[in-house]
Amino acid sequence: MSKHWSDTLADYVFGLDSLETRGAYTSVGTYAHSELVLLVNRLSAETETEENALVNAFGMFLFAHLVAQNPSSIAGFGSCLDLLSNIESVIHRDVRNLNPDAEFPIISVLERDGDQRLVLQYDSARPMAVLAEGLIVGALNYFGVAEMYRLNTKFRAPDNTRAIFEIEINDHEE
Amino acid sequence: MTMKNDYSERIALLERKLDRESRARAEAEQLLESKASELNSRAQQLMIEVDRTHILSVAMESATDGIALTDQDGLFTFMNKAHASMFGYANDELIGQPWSVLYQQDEIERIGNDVMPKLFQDLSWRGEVTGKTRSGQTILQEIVLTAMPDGSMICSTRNITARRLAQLEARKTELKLHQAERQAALYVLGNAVAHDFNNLIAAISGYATLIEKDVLPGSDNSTWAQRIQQAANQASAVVRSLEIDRRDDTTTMAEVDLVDLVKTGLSIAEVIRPPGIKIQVDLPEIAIAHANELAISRGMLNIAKNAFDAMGESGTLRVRLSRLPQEMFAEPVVYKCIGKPAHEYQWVIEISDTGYGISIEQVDKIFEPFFSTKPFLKGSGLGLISLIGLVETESAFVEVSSIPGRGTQFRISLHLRAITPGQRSSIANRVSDATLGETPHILVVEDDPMMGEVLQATLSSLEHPADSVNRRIPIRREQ
Repeated sequence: MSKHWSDTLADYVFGLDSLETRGAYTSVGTYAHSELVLLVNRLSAETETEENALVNAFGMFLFAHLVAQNPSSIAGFGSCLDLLSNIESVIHRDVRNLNPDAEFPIISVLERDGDQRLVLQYDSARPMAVLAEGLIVGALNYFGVAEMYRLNTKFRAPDNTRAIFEIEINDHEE
Repeated sequence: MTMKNDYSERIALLERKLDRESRARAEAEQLLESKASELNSRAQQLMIEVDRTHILSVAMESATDGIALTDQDGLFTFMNKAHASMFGYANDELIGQPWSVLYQQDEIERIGNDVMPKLFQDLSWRGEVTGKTRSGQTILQEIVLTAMPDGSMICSTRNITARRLAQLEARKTELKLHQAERQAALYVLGNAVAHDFNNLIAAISGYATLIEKDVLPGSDNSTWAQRIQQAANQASAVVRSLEIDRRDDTTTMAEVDLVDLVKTGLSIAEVIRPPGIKIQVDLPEIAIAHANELAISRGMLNIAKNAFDAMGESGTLRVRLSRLPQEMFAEPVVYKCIGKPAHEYQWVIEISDTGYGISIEQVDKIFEPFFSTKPFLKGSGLGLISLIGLVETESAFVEVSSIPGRGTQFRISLHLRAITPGQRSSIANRVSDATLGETPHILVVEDDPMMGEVLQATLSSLEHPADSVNRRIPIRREQ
């Protein structure tokens, strides 16, 4: 936030009185998602940027940050679709081993046509479907295939607790 | 002034940022400390689990039952020594191999079609399967399979080939004993009928002889008397042909180890032993005797069967084989013996129970054919007949003593030198030759009045003075 906008804006956003943490966060802590919602609301108001756009961008940033922190976690996946297909069975399983109290959304593979197409469903008690979308874009960027693939959000619930994403080869780009 | 305000604002902002980062750092340190403590605790728990797993691993490795684990694809991931050696392999030789390498194709299909669906439905299956050793031999396995949630399996098994063969052998022996018992019953029944018919035919023949002597030779009456005699002779031949030859296995003598014999008898008795009854055995290491294996086995088994019935749900059956007999019940209320006692014996078999005993009224009849105190169709009354066979074929001495309400003891004493039936006939002939003079006075003793009368009349007609005694004479045997 400081890098993209300014320290003053970051200081203002993190200085919210309603934040239980009073703006102090650490990467090893666990925080109520409502704080993220409050931060996004305030940042959106101050920057006049749509909340979803902010959360989407945060998802992209978050994926790159997570990979930088734990590069070995995705080392075994040969393609982006392999990684996205195994979030539930591999990534969430590994994270649960480290943090048994962690709560995850459910990422289900609805359809998969080899390396051509993948349809995922996101379900969560929290309204973070847009964050998931940003994470997917972050993954596509990481594997260097963002321009070859097309991400189509086929459905997203108004409260952002459920969404269906279709990722397929972008024929036009080929 | 503005620049000063800007600096002040900047300093305040940095202070707030520093405050947030300080608090975040403190929180992170606290969290890390907490995590470190938790990890330390987990590590200790893990060490305990490792130790426990090691102990379990050693226990599994040293178990006499075979234990094996397979993964989701049915490949062996663990196998203990007992399991591997059961099939003729070394410990690690089968790791990574599919379980199907231990079975023939038809058994693999049976397991796949019948066992696996039940296993994954009930998560457990117990039964018997036929395995194949490395050298191609067939083994019968008792097996317990447990399906794990991840699709892997735990197999616990034991080789029951020897046990099953022993059961089959015991069953064969039991069937053989039943067959011999049936033959004995037929012998008793057939010969009893033949004996009665022979008496009648002998009377007819005797009277015909007297008639022939009393009428004119060559007369019609003489001819008719001769015809009656001829018909009686033919009838006698027919009855003789109906007599059942008793020369079966029960008369075959051979060198046998009585210890093996008793053990075999007890293994059969074990099959019918009620769970609450204990068997105590006192045997020497070896007891070679010249004896009839089948007769002794039948005798022992029938005594054991009667003992089980007498004890009901609980009690103790004691079996002892020795050179010297133990004292029987100190004050037996009931005593009965058959055969002749001797000063020395080869071996003595003693079988006692803690059942309801035998009453005075019953004891005189227990060796009689078809006598039984058991409910209708439960006892044939022929079981202890085999002991009479023992007395006849082995020259054994059989005693039974009992205290009603406390138990019964049987003692089978095998004579040091058994006298064969052929020897007995020879002795009888010598006695007969020695006692008959030229004009003896003959005392006819016959329990059948008609036969006694015929014999006396016949002897008198041959000018042999004869007296007849044809009533039952009580004979008292001095102990």
